[in-house]
Amino acid sequence: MIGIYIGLALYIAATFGLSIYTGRKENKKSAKEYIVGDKNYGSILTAFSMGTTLASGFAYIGLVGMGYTMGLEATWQCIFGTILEFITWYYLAHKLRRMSDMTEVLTPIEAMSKFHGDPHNLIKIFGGLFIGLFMTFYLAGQFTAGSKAAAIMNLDPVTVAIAIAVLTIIYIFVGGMNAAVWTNAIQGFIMIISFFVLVIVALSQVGGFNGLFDKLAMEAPNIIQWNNGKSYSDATIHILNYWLGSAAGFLAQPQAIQKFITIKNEKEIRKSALLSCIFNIIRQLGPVIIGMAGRIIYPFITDPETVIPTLIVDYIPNVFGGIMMAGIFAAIMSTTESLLLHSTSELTRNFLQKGIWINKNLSEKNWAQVTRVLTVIIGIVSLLLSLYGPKNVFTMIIFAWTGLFTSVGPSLYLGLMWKKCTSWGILSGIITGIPATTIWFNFIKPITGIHEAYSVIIPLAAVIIVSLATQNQKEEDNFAERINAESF
Amino acid sequence: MFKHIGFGEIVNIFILPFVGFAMCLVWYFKHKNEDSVK
Repeated sequence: MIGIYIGLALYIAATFGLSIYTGRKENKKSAKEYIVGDKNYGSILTAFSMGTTLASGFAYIGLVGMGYTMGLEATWQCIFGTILEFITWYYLAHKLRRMSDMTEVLTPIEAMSKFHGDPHNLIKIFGGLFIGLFMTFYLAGQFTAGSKAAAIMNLDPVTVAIAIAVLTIIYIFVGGMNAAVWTNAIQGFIMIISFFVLVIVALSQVGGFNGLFDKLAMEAPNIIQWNNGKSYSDATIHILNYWLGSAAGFLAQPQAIQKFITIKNEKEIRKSALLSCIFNIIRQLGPVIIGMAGRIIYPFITDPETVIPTLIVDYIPNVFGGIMMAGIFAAIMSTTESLLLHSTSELTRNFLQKGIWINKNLSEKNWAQVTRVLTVIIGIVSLLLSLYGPKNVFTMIIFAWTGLFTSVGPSLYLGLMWKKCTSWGILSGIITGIPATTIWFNFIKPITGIHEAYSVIIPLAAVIIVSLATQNQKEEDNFAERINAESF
Repeated sequence: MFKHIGFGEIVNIFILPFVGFAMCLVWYFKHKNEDSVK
């Protein structure tokens, strides 16, 4: 075990050093540079940053457990995830990047306020507040996921949750976007290496793919069937409800869409999308294969979500194993960094600077200080929520993931692509998204079994109805039309 | 491996997970020339 702890320490030292080094020049700069950094990140850095932001600890814990219990069916996470991520790149990346050049917008909410105008600053105020605060809960869920991973490794969960929170706050406080992107790159690299190594180790224990399928055919034949033993119609409904519902969030996570604004130029977009898709496949197929092999290696394991740490302790109990173990924390911390930076950005830039404090005469340097103070406050609040709030971590994470999609998705896509969409329509989508998901999650899902992602029909209807009802409102500008006119 | 799985499983393992990647690949190569212009 000593070797594993040394490997973990090496990971922390490497990411800490990198955040200090890459963040050193950000100290005296403006809030803008804190939020979007150099806006000069190439295709590889953007792809890693996008991939690691979307990949949380769920990849190492939840998805492995699903591979163990559901088998081949869990590949639907990868199938829908990769297709929906491609759609996001295809429809949004060029347009948002171009918009950031035309209007100097820094966040997706600010971009949405420019599609058809924001006459009373309500899109910025409500969007910044709702998304910023909601991400605080998402962040808390990630800290709790870290403590769960720690418990699996016989580390103290509270200490680990605090350590993850403190390191995340330091990384972002010191370097803002620059530190987040560069540490995400090293974290993504560790994740890829660890999945390759762990898949090889797991398969070598069961006799490769042939041995795996031979043994599973005898032990648990259902999990090597595409429909998991269900009838065709039941399997199809289940896949569309559960797996498509879970993956729908890929379409509109603001912390991921932010990467379209910070990429170097439009020529890097397609290359970056390709790399990000490859990363997506590795991080979503690897855990399923490891989970399925885990079913043979550890047939009586108490908690199937512990297959990866158990495999590392049993078969790679050295420094290299520690680096593999660090993959779990890399997945969690890369997500926490992006969430902390983004919630701070939305609150400072939209809710305060362009919203309720629009008449305050602060310099850019002062706004940078406000952003940093908020970084610390949100980090601490999230940690307290994690330590003393609800413990059903994955429910919390999946709920937050879906809530962000429903409140941002309809307004973002319709605002950008539907000619009749208005600023009031966009605002109504943002305001109704999170309440709709909350009501659906607590009252409709328990009765009907329909996934909470389908609550997206409510903000979708709100955007359409309110837009049609406000066609006569005068628009202050229409960047959506200008961007679409220039698109190729 | 193949003696235990049918057509549905082959599609599930070897084709569907790569559909998103294939779409991305087509998009990339379709615009490769314009992206490589300095």
